[in-house]
Amino acid sequence: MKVNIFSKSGKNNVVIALVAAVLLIGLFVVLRSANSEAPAAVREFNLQIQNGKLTDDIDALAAYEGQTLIFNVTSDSDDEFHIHGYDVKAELEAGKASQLEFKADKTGRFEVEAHKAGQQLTVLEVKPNP
Amino acid sequence: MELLLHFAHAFGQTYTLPIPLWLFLFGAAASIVVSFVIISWFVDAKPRKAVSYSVAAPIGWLMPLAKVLGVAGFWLMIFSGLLSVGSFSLIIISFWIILLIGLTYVVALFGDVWQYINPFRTMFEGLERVLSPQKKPLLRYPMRWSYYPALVCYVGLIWLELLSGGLGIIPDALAYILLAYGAVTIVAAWAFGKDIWFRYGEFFSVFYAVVARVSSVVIEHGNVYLRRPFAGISSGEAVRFSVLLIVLFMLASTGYDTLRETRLFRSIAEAVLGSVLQVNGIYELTCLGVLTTGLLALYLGSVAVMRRITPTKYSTFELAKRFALTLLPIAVGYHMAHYFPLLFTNGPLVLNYLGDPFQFGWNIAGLADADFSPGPFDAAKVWYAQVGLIVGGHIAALYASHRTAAQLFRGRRVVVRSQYAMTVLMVVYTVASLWILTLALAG
Repeated sequence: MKVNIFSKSGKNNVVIALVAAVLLIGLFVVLRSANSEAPAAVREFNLQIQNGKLTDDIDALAAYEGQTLIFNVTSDSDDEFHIHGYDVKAELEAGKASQLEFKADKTGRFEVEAHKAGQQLTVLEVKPNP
Repeated sequence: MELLLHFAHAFGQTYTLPIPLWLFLFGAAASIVVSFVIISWFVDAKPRKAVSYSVAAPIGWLMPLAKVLGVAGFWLMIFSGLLSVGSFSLIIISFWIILLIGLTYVVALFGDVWQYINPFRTMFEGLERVLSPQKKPLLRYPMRWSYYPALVCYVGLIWLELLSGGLGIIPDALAYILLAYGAVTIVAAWAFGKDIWFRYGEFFSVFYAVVARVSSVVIEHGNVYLRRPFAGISSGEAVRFSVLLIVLFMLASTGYDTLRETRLFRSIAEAVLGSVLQVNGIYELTCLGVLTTGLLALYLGSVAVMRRITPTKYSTFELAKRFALTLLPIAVGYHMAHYFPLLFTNGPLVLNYLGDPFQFGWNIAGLADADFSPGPFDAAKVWYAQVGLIVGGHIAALYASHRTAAQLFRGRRVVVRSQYAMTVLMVVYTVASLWILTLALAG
């Protein structure tokens, strides 16, 4: 192991640290831009609630920051549809379709609830646009 | 029970998203690249003196204030818990968020302030003054107990937080638990002598004293000193084996807190138990035990390799105790990455509860109904902070392990070579910590 870095001067270390920093910044920029694509302007979700639960078991609803989100919700009982963090609500009338529309301007993971049943239906994950 | 679960949920609300794959890859790459930079640095490094204290500033005059605050805060918490009618109370947020998360970071940055705040110690000293101080403790503390009483309490605390099915967030239950803990502490301090018990047995004293080792600020005998960064964890002095276990348990329990919320954990529970509904305290304690043991085995394995490739008089076990504290920045960095969103989203709400601590309908200084909720943070910023904290902890840990090696071994090449296995171990811990944060969360 007779590499140059084994010679004494501390200057080499500064050079190595700088090269590493430039490499890492470059890697960060490349990875970030390679993983950003323009999402569709509107994202629509159709949800059906039965006995206070979603008919399809969905772990998470995925959306991107800046999208307009439209929720079409039908429930078998009167209830209130609510998304935490955004604090948006829609009154649900049994058997009738309700619509909720808002702009995804906050990023994060938000609980989606049917309030009267006190049940968490699923979560809304709004990912940032890197 | 339904209501309780609901509150458990609302309480832990942080809006944090799992880290995306590309950022995980970047974090992993950064931890490896930075490792090589540190290694190259130490090829040239000269050994330094272990600890260098700078000028002291006296803060003795602050001590009575800290003691009054500690005792008043303790009883405020207790009474808020006992008198609360609702399912939520000042005691919940001040104990779990302000004390266990917030104070941990204060101590990590500014040194062990707990030694003065500690209400149990102040109350014990008050009792001593009223009764008469003991000349000699009643019993001799068996030194082979070392810090194990504190470790047992730590396991109990994590049980209360994660595995007790919400017992820890029932206000009056938590108040009774803290009162019982206070009684046990005072009796033990009386039986074994206060200096011994507050050094080895009392959980909070032990925990904050360990965390304070990463700090550059030392608070001792009413004075504040500054020391070289990470000098407190790289002196090469041996700590007790129980301290190593406390550090590893901190890392394991933090990782487990994230893991148990993931879909992966759910699938494993389904495979092992047949259904997620079968998950109980015993199963979870076993998982936590397996995780801690796994971390310990990896660490001891790495130290054994170090022992083999390094000419040294120390045994593997001795080296394990001398390098134990170098893992502390990884544990603290990961703890911060995991809990800082909770601290910042829920911490400010303590002000609301201070406005009406006993739920009598008070509104002191308009605090009770003011809006302190900061709302959701930008998820990308949370991600970058998390990766930064974890990689930062990795850098500090690796630096400390090389410094420790420079204290214990002769010759630069020997020092650098001795840390090959530790470097791999730390990269593994760091990448695993990052990976846990990428896992998809269960609904």
